[in-house]
Order: sequence, then structure tokens, then C-alpha cells
Amino acid sequence: MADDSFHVSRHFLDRQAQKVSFIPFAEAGPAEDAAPGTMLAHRLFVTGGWRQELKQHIVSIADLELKTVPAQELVLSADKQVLTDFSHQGRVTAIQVKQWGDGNVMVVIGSANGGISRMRFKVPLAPGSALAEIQMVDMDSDTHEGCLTVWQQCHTDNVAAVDINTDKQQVLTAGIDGQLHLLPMQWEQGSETSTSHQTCYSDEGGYVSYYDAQWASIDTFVTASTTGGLQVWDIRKKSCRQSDLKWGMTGVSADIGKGTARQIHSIATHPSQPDKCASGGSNGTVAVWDMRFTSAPVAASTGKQNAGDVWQVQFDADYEQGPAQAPPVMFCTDDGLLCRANWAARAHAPLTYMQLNAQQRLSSTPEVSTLLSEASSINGFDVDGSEIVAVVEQECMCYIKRRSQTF
Amino acid sequence: MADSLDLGAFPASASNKLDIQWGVGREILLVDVGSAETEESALGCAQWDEPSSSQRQVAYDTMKLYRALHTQALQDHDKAARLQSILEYSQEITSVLQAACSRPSAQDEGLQTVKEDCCAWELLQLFYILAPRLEGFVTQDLVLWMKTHNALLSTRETCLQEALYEVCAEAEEQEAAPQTVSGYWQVFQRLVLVGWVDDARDLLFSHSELHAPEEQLSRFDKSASSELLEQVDALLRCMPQVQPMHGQAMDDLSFLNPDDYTPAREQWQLECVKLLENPRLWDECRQTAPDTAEALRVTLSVMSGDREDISNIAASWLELLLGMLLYGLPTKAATRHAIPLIITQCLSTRAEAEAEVPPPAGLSLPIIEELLPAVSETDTARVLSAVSQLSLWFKAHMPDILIATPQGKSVLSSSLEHEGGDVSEKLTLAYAHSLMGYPTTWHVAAAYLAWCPCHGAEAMQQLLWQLPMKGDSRLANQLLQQCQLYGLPQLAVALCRQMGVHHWQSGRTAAALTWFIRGHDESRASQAAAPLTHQIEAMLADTTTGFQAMPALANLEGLLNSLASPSGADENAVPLPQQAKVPSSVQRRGALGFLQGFLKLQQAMQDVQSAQDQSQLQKGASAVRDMVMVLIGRKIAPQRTWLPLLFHTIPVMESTHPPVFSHTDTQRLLSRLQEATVWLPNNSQNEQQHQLVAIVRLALVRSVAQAHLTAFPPALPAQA
Repeated sequence: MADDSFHVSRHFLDRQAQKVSFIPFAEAGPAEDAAPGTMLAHRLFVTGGWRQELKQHIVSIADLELKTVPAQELVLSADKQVLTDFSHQGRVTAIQVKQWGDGNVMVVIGSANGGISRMRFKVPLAPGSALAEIQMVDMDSDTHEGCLTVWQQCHTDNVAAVDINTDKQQVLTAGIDGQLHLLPMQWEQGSETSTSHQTCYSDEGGYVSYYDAQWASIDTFVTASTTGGLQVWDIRKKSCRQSDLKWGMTGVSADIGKGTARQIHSIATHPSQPDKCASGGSNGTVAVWDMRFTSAPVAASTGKQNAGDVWQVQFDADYEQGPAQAPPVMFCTDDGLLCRANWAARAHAPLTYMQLNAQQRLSSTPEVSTLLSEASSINGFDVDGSEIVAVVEQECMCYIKRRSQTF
Repeated sequence: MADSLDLGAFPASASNKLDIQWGVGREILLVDVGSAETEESALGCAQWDEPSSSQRQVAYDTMKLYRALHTQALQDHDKAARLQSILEYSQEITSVLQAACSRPSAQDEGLQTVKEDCCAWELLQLFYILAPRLEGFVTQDLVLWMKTHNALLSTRETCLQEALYEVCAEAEEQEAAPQTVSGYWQVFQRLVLVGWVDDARDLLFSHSELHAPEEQLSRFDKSASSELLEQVDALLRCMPQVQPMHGQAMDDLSFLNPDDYTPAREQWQLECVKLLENPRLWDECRQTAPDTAEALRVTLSVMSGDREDISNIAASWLELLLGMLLYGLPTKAATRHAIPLIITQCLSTRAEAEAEVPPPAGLSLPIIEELLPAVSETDTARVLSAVSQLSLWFKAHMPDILIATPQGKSVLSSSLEHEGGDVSEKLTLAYAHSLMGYPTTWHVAAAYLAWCPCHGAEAMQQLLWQLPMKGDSRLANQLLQQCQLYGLPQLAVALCRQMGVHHWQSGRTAAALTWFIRGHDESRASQAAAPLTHQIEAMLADTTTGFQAMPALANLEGLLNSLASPSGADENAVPLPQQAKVPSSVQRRGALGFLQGFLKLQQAMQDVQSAQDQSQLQKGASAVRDMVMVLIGRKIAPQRTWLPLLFHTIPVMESTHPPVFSHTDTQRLLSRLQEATVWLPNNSQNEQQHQLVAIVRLALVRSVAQAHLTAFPPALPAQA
């Protein structure tokens, strides 16, 4: 565990979650029947996965009730409870949560059978609010069966990614079927099957399959696909720029010449630096790209022979702005690691591949620190400031609270 | 013979054939094979003994410990270090089991199994690891073990915790003096008998005599019964307790070490006898509270070691055993060497009494009746027989403890003559098998199979091959990772093929190619790429519009670039002239090689078309020449495309000076043209083709001449 983690708790979920995302909720308030200075907070999160008992794919909203003493950086207790379950048609392949306005939260879910589902609710923002104050506004669901129904069946197979652009009120979806859709977010009853407002970038010949996609700015988004590297799309010009393929399929020079066994599985754009994008791929490799494509990606590799694939990457916003060329990146791997790659140590190094010594353990390298180590794959995680929630193949979730570096 | 298991009904047509196959793990697949007329088949699947939520939780949490112990075993050559590892492992497993048992889960049917496993595990740990290591008394460990697992180790009628709860509830309900409630004294005596001193004192404290109003106490002397009650309570409070072995590290002053325990218990029992022999108190008490007097007399009799009273009070042989160890026998009877005999005696004594009333089936007590004597003797063969009713999880992990004794090690590592492997592996395989068929636990099964040296690889192949991938690339990557980890390259190829075919069927060429290339399946990759090849051929065949770029091909550039060069030189390839430069990545044959080469040719043609000056033009033309020589010279391109390819190259051939095609190049191309057109029928239908041949041949001849002139410039005759 990294030194700046002061609380790690593990909770059995009783469902194998593939994706997880925090749901915004009110800040902590004073805890009743507790010592002065003790605060009570609810950390809501949504997971998508498989429930063995019911033999169903399921989307769950759960709460982690935290009793903390902020002054002492102490977490007294963390109790998990599942608030609600929705059965879901097909494997959950993507989840995106976005908040806008005054507590409006939208959750969009992508499915392995090509469907997109959504739900919207209003969360309280006043500190110390109770869970009962959450209002479900609307959702695509069959209320009798407790099943999320499909809002848009816009892909023919695996939905690789969904991402919400709150400025444009559009949902970006990318599929393994080679299609990219921009769906309007407006909630119009009776418009479930309407596709008239969709904007679609379609590859009819099947010569592209998308692995991930994410908005980079109001008008641009990034994709990773079978084409290799990254593609930056501008919806104003309807144009696409492709990264230089001499950098290989993953942007990691060690992967060049290793064929199609090396792929990008996940990308993440930086929330405030629209030119930065992180990617995670096969064999534990992570890269940070400058999307102007003026220089090769700065990259890290676990260096291990059979390192696990990186299933998700995210920029760590909770860091001190330093001279590093790339912000720190967090990533989770198939061999059960949740790591943080910090490039600050290499601030003055050229933007080339930094190969770590193959003999070195991941955790002992100065650039990559391990936040969590599990016996099985860490399927996904989400970061919110100094808090992290991660879901593990072994039907459990982990909550990590770190010392904030920025506040 | 094992009982049959009803797995449900599967509807099948009487006229159809029913095909039955074993699936992965505990799964049977049934296919109702439709007749030729109907062509309708139905697939059914029956699974059984699916691990419950708590069983899965235990499986997850113990997997890491199991893997760590066995990895450590490869490095530990020191016996003491090995035993220490096993001790820590068993304690961590106990913690996992206790945590799972304490998890509230009303509808979890597997929880009972986990509780049984926990009960048996603690017993194994005590006699196989702690007792041989510490050589102390097992009394207190057994007291705590029985208290923890009382509900499991008793029938409903004999469950002490249940009886205590009922007495307390009835007293509260009736609002009567607790000691008047039926069963009060019996429960109290049993609590004392099995060493649950705190519970016994709590129950005794509820006696109404100990709660007399203060004014009553001030007016009269204390009654004999209350004095007796207080003295019994005082004796219970200072009852010597030997330190439990599993808590050796605990610095608890209330427990005595084995050396101090023996004299302390003798002294304490003398005090019990002394109180028992006080006639004044007993006579007075009998007059005022005869029931209390009699119950306390029996209790004190038990505490002072009266074996007849101990036997009368004990509701089961386990209670009898604890009573004898705590009070009826010398303390040394609780050592690991002496206790097997005591257990056997207690069992036989109780068996005679209960001969006519066999214990109900389905409870753990019958298992413990077999297990406890076997475990106490560390008789591994009997232990293996006794645990047959316990879970597969228990059986798979039990060898890790049993192996701590030399006898256990020899039994478990003896190879099975007809099955191969040893007992330990057989148990591990059975456990892994029970986890294979579920998306939540297959990876746990794989982790255990890695430790099965004889049959593990075969079972792993079966597991990885039969898991339904359904196009899930994440799962496929995980399976391939396992293949790489355990050295299963052929299976990896098959999995890649499966994924490739899935995408191919759905028309996703790029995804299909990705997997076929990854699986070194060039044949299918070429087949998948064939539509694109046909598009290129169609474009080339159209000689009226000139060379047209294929935008779709650019999307495959990354994939085609990633094609590894085949190992070793292609013996059948036509050797290229030394000066010819060939991009190293274009050395493949078949459709992929053609696409690879054509993509580069396309880029070079675009460079020529967009050239701004002579230098750029020469550079582009040179690249075009390289690719033409690869595609046609080395016969990478299909023969039917040679003629149109050469035709589209003519503008490049004739626009450069000096010419990019050398004399040798052109000679080779002329020879290829001859090969391509030798079988071209000479009829009116192929008139256009013949015209093309003539054009290309003429262009090549011009190129030869130009190359010759460039190579050997004619010497101008001296001016006359």
C-alpha cells in the first residue's frame, strides 16, 4: 500500500462487478450519537456486473457509510449496503456517471448486446443529507420486473464505451461494431427508439472496431481501436486525426513488433488538459499521449514477463502541479494491482519510452506505486479527489482514502 | 452407493436424439438434436451443487493464502520454517472461515457447510499443529471450540446455548423466580460441566436469593442458601483455567500456564470438597430451599470431580468429555498423548447409553464422532475417511494441515496406482472441478489447478477451452494470459481462432484479423481479408480511371504493420537482386502479404501524385518500384493482378529520369508478364486484355531501353 493511503477497507459485494463509478452526493455532516468532530458521509457508487445467485447481469447502486474524523485523517468505520439492484440485458460493458446543474445526475450504461440504458436522479447537495433525499427522476426500466430496458439499440455488439458531454448534452457511444454515435441526452418520453437525432460515424466494412472512446473537449473526442494508437475526432469538421503508427499499437515502444497481442483496452482524457490522454493496454503498459501528436507518448511498463492487462486508466487529479510533462495516472490490472504512475521523477527526461528494469518489482520503482494488491483482477475503479473505489473479480469492492496532496 | 440427484426436467421430443455431454465442472449439457425435417435443436444445461455466496467468499479469501503457502513451500527447506508457515496459514484460514460464518446471510444455504468446515478446521489445527508444537493441555481449547460451534455439535434437544436462551426467555415471560423455571438447574449444571463459567455465573446471579431486598438483609442474617450460592459463585469465579493453545501469544492473566494449572486445580477442588462437607450450611439450606441445596450439591460434586455426577449431567459424549477433562480426570489426561483414550472411553460410555436412540442424521455430531478420535490420534487415514461428508473446500485444504505430521505427509503423498497423482492432488482437483463452471469462480479453479502436477494441465485445458467466451474480448485476454502462464500455446491458438471466427461471422474484418493474426492463423486471416482483396482487384481491373486509393485499407495499416516477419527465409521465394531494397515487414504471402504490399504501394503512388518537385517524385517512384518488385517480382500479389498492376505503374515508370526500374528489374517484370499472359486465350473476348498486354510490354521494353541507356550511355562519335 502506498504511504499516502490511510484507510483501505474491503467489502464483499456478492456480485462480480466489471465497472464502477462514484455517484456525486452531499458532503459529510456531523454524525449523531458520536464524539465531537466525527463526521458521517455517504459515498454512493454504481456497479455493473454479474450476480451468480440470480444468474443475471445486474446494475447496482450501493452506499458506503463512512464515519470519519477529518481532523485526524481517521476513518472510524465504512459500512457498505446495496440500495437497489436492476437486472440488465447483456453484460455491462461501460458505465458513465455525470452530474450537472443542481444535483442532476445521469448514469448511462452500455451493454454487450449493443444497447444503451440510462437513469437519472437528483441527489441532495447540502452537507449531511440523508439517503432518503435522493429522488429518482426517470429511468428506462420495466418497473414490474426491476429490469433496465434499452434506451437506444444503436450498436450491433459490444458497446465499448459511453461518455456524457454535459456541455453539448450529448452521449458518445463507441462499439466494437465500428460505429460511433452521438446521442442527444434529452429525456423525451416516447422517443426511446428514435434515432433521428443521432449522429453516427460508421464503418460499414467492418475495418474498424473500437475499444474505448472519451470526450476530450466540448467538440473533440478520442478513440482507441483496431487501427492502433489513438484517433482524435473533431465533430465540427467531422475529421479524424490518427496518431503516428510508428509508435506502435499501444504507444509503448516495447510493444512494437509484438503483433496484435498488444492492444489498448482503456483510455482517459485529462479533465483540464484537453491535449493529454492516458491509455492502458496489454501486459501492464500505460502511456500518456500528447494529442497534438507532436511527440511520442511517454510510457511506463510493468516490465514483468506476464504482467496483467490494464483494464482501466484515469488521471489522478489529486496531485501537486509540478514540472512533470505528464500528470500522474492511476491504473488497474488483471493481476490485481491498482497503481499510480508518477512521471514527476522523469520531468527532465526526453519524451521517450522509459523502460523499467525487468528485474525490479513494480512497487519498488520510483515512478509506479501500488495502492492496492489483490489476488485476482481489479476490474475497474473510480477516483474522486482523495477517495478511490475499486471492484475486484472476487465479488468485492475496496475503498481507499488517501491523504490529499492538493488540499 | 451415493444417492441420486434430481437435476430437473429437460423437455425433449420423442422423435429426436438426445445428446448428453459433460460440461465444464459440475455441468451436464443436453442437446435435443432435431431431425433433418425440422432442423430444430434445443440446448439444455443442468448444474448442481453451485457454491453459495458464503462458500464463494471463503474460496476467494483462501485462494491467496493457499497460493502463498504452496509458493513458500517451494522455497522453505527448513522444517521449522515450514511448520511456522503452516501454522500461520491455518490461523489465517480460521479467521477467513470465522468471518464468513459471522456474515449475516439469512438465505445462504451454504453457510451451514462453511460452519461445519470451520468447526472441523479448528479441530485439525489443534491436534495436528498446535498440540504437537506446544505440548500443553487441550482442555481450554476444546471448551472454546465447543462453545463456538455448539449449535453444530448438538441436536436441538441437547444444544446448550438453545437451552440457556429458553430458560432465560421463560423466566422473563413468567415473571417468576428464575430458579423455579423448569430446566434452570440442569442448564446451570451443564454450563459448569462444559466450562462455560461466565454463562454459569450469569445464570446463577439471576437466582432470586441473590436479589433479596436490602431491608430484608438488614433484619435477618443471610440465609444459608444465599451463602451457599455466593460461595459456589466465588469458587466458579476463581476456577483455574489453563491457557488455550491457540492463544499462546495472548498475555491474558486469567489463564494459567500448564505447570501452574495442575496444582491450582487440585487446590481448587479441595476447596470444593471442603464446601461440600459443611453440614450446617447444607442442612439449613435443605430446610429453606431444598431444590437449590440439591442442585448446588450436585454442581459442587461435579466440580470436585465426581465421575458419576459428571456422567449423569452430561447431555452428550462431548459434554461428558469436557466434564471429565475439566474435573473428573487428572490434568495430564488432556495432553495430546492421553486424550485419544479418554475420547474413546467417553464415546463408548455414551454409545451404550444411547444405543437405542441414534443421533439424527445431517448434523455434524456424527461426523465429529468419527473425526475427533481420528484427529486426536493424528491418524490421517481415518481422518480422510471421517471427512468424507464435509465440503470439497475442506478436503482440498485439509492436506495442508495434515502434512504437518510425518504420518500425514506419507499418506497424502502416496501415489494413486490407477488414477495417477496423489491423494492431495485428487482432492484439489475435485475442489477445482466444483468451481470451474461459473463466471465468478473459474479463475479460482485455475489457481488451484496450477498446483496439480499430474492432471492439472489437462484439466486447465478443459477449463479454458470450455468456458463460454461469447465474443467477450476481456475474458479471452484473461484466458490467453492463463495459457501463457501455464504454457498452453496450442490452446491459445484455438482460443484466438474462436474469437476470430466470432467477429468474422459478424462481419467485423478488423477484429477478426486481429485475433487470427494473434493466433498465427494465416489461412483464416487471408480468408477474412479476401473481400478487401477482391475490391482491390476490381479497382485495378478498371483501367479507365487510373489508380484509385482504397480508404478502408488505411484502417488496417496498424494491423498489417504488426504482422511479424516469418522466421527464417522463405526458401521458395525468388531471390531478389542484391541492390533491391525490400521493406522487411513485407515478406508474407497470401492475402495479408498482398494487402501489406499493396498498402505500401498505395502510399507510394499517393506520394508520387502529390510530389511537388523532382526530388519528391524520384523518392516516391523509387518506393513504387520497390513495392512492384515485391508484389510481382516475388509473386506476393496474385498472378491475375500482375498485368493491371504493371499497367497502373506505367506512368511512374515513364515519368522519372533516371529511371527507377533497372535493366534487371524490367527483365524480371517482362518475364512475369510472360508468365501471367501465357494462358490468356486468344479470342475476341480477351481483346482488351491483349491490348493491355501490348501496352505493358511496350512500356517495359521502353523501360529496358531507357535503363540500358542510363546504365551504358552511348559514347557520342567524335566530331568529324
